[in-house]
Amino acid sequence: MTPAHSRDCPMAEQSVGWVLHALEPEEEFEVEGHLVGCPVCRTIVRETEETLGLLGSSAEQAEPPPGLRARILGAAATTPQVQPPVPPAPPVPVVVEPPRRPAAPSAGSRRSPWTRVGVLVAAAVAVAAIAGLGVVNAQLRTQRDAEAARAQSVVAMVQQMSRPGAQHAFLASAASGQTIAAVVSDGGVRTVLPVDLPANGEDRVYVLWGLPGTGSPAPLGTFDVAGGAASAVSVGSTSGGAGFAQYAISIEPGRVAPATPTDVVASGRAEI
Amino acid sequence: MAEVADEAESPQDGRPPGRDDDGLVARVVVGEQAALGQLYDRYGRRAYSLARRICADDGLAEDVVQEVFLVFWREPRRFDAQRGSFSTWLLTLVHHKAVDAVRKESAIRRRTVAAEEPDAAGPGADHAALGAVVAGQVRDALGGLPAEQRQALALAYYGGYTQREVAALTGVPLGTVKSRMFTGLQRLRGQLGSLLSDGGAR
Repeated sequence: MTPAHSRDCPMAEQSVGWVLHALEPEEEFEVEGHLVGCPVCRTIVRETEETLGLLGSSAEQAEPPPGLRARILGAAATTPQVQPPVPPAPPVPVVVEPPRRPAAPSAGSRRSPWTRVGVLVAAAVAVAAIAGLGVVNAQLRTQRDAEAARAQSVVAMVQQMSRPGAQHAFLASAASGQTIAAVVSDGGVRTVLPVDLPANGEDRVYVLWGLPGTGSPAPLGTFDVAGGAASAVSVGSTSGGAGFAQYAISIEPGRVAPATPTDVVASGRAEI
Repeated sequence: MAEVADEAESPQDGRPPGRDDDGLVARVVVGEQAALGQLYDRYGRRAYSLARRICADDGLAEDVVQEVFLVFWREPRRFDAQRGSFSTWLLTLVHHKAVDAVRKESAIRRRTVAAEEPDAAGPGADHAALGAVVAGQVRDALGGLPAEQRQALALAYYGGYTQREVAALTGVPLGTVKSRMFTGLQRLRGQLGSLLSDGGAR
């Protein structure tokens, strides 16, 4: 059929299609999941973006409408920034991944078992979460509605985990090693299920972090855990881009995310 | 402020001014709108030109550019300097949003536009953003590709077609389309290596 050229990974072609934004949605999810664990394809993505940047720059140039600049700045003036105004992360010496040739790229072989295991674990976590909730809510009947909502959000989250391309991570407590939260990243939307995170109170906030394969952790958003029954919460969202190799949750003084995590309470590896 | 003014005012020198973009980005991160304005002065024209090329509609292109700059304003950390230059990141986002916009719009319009212009840019166009020489090199490199690779890339990149649509339009198997785009981009990169190694990347 098609001659195999210098494709260092079986997903190389798909990665190029992904940068071109020319894949079908289910393929996009699959590539995004793959990129998390494949430095070869991440390099291909970066190179393809550069090449396409030149193509894009060479399009026939036209002057934008004169009012556009003012409209953008006007809109910016009324648009709050999602990230808190903190200095940018210090330029960490990056380990630039050389396109290392994997002896046997095994992207395909790893995927399905992990998905299966992940969903099973997720289901177990969900059951534990729902069961624990029953006890809490027995004390307060008025929280019935919250219970139903939470059960629903947990079920939705577990369903989300099994979606192709969705990334998830179970975050274990730094202290006890127990799973105390779960994260699902699906199409850039991140959801945290605080299974056993203590309430943070008013003067502190939880921050979800994404840890790329190389480079510094990125704050993804803040969230609160109230006493008792917390539902799955949506934490920040970004469209496009790859997922992360690991996720972590820290507790921070104040109400905004710092540039780097202070007190990491839980962390875990991302699975596809 | 003063040290960036000269670069910002002469983006047509041929070299994309990328050297101190990181400084401007850092200022956007801390909420400085003036820095956003300066980045717009540098890249607004290029962004608009690409969006216009894909959308084939001035109003739509304008919306795309506004959306892209506001996305960056809202979440400046989405740009990661370790992964590449700001201009590359911005144009990637412009492309993505423009393709989304054109897919939402009438499919008929882009069908005509994309199919008519398989090469990178019209001859005699004003290529001030990259400099005429560089734009010429890009055009030559595209022109040097086998026709079927050039066509596949143009339909996807400028036309906003999915690979599946390109396969249907050109009557070749999907796998062949994927292969053509991959190989075409590899070749382009090989041809344009000198532009990418230094100025283009950072």
